[in-house]
Amino acid sequence: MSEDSSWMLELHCRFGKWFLVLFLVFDVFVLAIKTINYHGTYEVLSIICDWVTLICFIGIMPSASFPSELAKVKATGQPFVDRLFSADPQVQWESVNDMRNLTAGNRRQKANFIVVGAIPRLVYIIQQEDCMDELRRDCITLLTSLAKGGNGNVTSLCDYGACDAVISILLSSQTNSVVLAAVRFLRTILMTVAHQHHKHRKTVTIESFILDKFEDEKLISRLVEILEFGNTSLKISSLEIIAKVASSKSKCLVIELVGIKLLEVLLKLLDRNDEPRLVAAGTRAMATLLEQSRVGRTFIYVSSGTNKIQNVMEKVLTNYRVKPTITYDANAPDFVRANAAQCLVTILSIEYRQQLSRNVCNVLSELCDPEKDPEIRIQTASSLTKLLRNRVYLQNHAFYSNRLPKKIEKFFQRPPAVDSSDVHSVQTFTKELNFFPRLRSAAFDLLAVLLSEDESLRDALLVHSCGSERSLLHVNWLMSRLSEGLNEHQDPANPESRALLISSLRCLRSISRSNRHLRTSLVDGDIYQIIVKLYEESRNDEEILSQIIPVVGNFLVDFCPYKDDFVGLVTDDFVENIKTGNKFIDHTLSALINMTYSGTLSNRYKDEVSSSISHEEFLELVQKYSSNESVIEKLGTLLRNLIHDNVIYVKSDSQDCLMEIFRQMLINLPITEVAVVQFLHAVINFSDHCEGVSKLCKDPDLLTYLIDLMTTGTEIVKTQIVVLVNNLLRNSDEAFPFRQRLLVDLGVLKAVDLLKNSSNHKINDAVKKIYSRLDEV
Amino acid sequence: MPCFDDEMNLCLEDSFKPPHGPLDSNIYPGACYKGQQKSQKNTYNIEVKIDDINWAHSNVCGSLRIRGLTEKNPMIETFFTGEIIGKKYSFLTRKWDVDFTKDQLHWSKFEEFKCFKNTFNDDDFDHSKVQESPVLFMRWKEQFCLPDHRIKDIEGASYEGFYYVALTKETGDIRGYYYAKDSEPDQLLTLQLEKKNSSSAFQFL
Repeated sequence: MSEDSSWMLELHCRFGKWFLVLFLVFDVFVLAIKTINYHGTYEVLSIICDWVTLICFIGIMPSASFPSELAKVKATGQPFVDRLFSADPQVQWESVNDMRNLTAGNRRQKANFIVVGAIPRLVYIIQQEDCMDELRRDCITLLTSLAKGGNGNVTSLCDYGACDAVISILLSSQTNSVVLAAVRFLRTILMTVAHQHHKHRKTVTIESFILDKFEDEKLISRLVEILEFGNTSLKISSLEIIAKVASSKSKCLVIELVGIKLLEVLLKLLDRNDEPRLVAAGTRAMATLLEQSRVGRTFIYVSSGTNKIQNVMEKVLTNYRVKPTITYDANAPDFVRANAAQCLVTILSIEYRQQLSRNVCNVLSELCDPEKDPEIRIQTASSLTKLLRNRVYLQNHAFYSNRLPKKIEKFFQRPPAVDSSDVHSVQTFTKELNFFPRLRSAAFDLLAVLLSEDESLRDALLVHSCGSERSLLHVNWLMSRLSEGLNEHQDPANPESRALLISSLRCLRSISRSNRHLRTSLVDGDIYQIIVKLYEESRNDEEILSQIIPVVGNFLVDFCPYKDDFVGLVTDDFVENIKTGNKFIDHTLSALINMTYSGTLSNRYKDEVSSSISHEEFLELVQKYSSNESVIEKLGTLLRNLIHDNVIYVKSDSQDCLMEIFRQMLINLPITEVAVVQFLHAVINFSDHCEGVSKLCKDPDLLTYLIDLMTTGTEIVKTQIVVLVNNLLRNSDEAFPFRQRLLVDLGVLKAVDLLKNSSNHKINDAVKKIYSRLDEV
Repeated sequence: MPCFDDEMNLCLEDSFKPPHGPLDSNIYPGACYKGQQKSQKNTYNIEVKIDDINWAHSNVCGSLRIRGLTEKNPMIETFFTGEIIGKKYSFLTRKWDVDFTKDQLHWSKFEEFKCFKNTFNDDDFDHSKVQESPVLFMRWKEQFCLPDHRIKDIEGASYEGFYYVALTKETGDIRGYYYAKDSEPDQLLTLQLEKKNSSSAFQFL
């Protein structure tokens, strides 16, 4: 039971006001007596105050008493509801029809009927076994009409058991008209809540509450049955319900229970049907089902239906290439193509085929055209985002062959002003304006994927203006849009503005993966200042942090002109993240790796990290994360960078923690090959310092293990070990003869003998030098 | 700091940054090269530092410092981007005011190009053979000045042209020829790799 429309509210609405009126009459009466029998100035003031208070109270009473929308209405529908209580079904039916006529397009009237108690009575009527089919149908239709009045109405319907009653009727009734009314009612309930859900996040509980009612295998089976035997309207509504239930991750299991049957029915339906609205609903349901991983995989693997689905979808794409001359809904053919392409994108994510992916890319790019419906453009941009991810060939194809950037640019264009006398133009304008924030988000997401890999694509989109003389005056269009997107987060509670910010950050991340644009485009667009401010404001916002940390990570490389600003801003936070092991540890470690990578001889950035993480703490970290492959690889790389050209870091390790780390990582603990390579790099860097050489030579066990790797390791490991041995032999100090002897005793010569004919010239060079240095032994 | 009795060319390819570059090339992020650029009258000291290499996309970028080019600016630093010749970028430049003849003229100055001289313009030219060559052929194009990319004109200097470059994989030695429409022809660039015994890594996220 929700607070918006409980039974208490209804009682309040029906009887509460009479108590209030009685109270006011009594109050006026008492004040009148006081006024007549007043005694002196003080009492006059008191009486005036009482009158003022009373008038104010009457003034604010109606709005202050009932906060909900339902409470604002007057109970003028009482006579109609009273007639529903008649024993004569004919009177009830007439009343229902009168109410239907009154409620058509009238939200106030709908609320009025709810307030005076229409819902429980209607539910009671449809539950009666002897209820006429016509009356039952019209009652359900009236309930559907009431549901269309807003979120509060849907809640009331659920509270009074309307959903359960209608589901029960859908399962039991064999009368087509009643079944159609029931399916439409359920569809309306789901869609109304879904629509509200987009607008207000708080309604998520209601949506989940309603979806619970659909977690019923019998109900889904019944809907599948309708798909086989129902008429077009019934099929469309059933498909919309199935798609909605399937899109809820927590409820898709129930779909899976009837999945194979549903797939067969859907494929048959799509294979034979020409009605665009039905095919649009069918392809929509199929796309949603395939996108839900469990259901999708069940479909594709269990029924081995990849080819079947692909064939049907390709056929649908071909059939709808040319718009039918007469269509009920002008956008239906585009929706059909967008949905079919979306299905194929999911199939391609499991089984990639180049020719098919190029065809799908062409269709989706075409649907991104500015003259298409904004909803279709958003949907196709999202599908393209999935299709292009990590596929450089396709990214280039979409970029150049399909001229995608030009189309994406139009996503950022506000709808042009229209003639206010043309209703259709005004409707189109309103729709485009409503979808504008989502269009921009979709565009940024698509750009993020398009520009994520290939520098030449980034250049093609960004260089032409920043490289020219006009750059001071004309900032590239993408950088202007990006700057706007990143700044548009004034209302953190507004999901659309937040989504736009998140998408802008994704796009920025892709652009920031470029040495060139770190130095040019981002400077011209004043992006660094925006990110500094945004980071400061979002330190406790996990959703934004998850997107901004990788961006900042890229800003910490040597080539970024604002590196210093970000080092000061984030170092303490990032070190804390690593020590506490929070969920951003992977990205923060990568960011610190970038920060400590230094092309210059300066070690100041390394010192920032090493002064916050002592050698002992580093040892604890590698022990703590030894089983986390990704983290341990990065810890190895961070250690490599910290030791590189940093003799002070090696010298200050009084407890020999670095040696302990090498022993543990390379000998004692099982770590991945990539991690081994990184820790070996750290050992090589360690051996670049006299202190490191001396410490390594005091540990024959570690050296023996490393020399063994010269014969058992991979090509890169072998190369690393010969480089390491070279470093150990490079310095002709007093201990050099000792090191020569030690290495020979540990079998270096034998191992080197096996490598002397290597085709790798780097190994060959190193082997020659090792022979030369050991020659004296 | 330890004192070295000799220098070793042992710097390893950066394995943190995927995909891995070929181990047998002496070009990697952070690699530094020093040498000279000689024109008919003058010789200038040059330092090149490689910022990044993307083997998957055959791109390279870095910075180039030239000393003594003008009196007003004793040192000029520019950012350059490079194309690695292979499957993605052919020997034919097709931009920057050069045609087949100029490409052939410049590439032919490299001994290792001779085996491709008669075939590089063929439609069925086998680019995998270029990868087997002992040198890495590249084109380097200076893009803007550092640290301020907004500076467009430097008195007495120009970076309108580009370099035809060949890097010897075994040694890391670089030879290059600068070409610009209005500049003196046959300006020779020679660079040697500064050898290091340790390395560090980074990765864009």
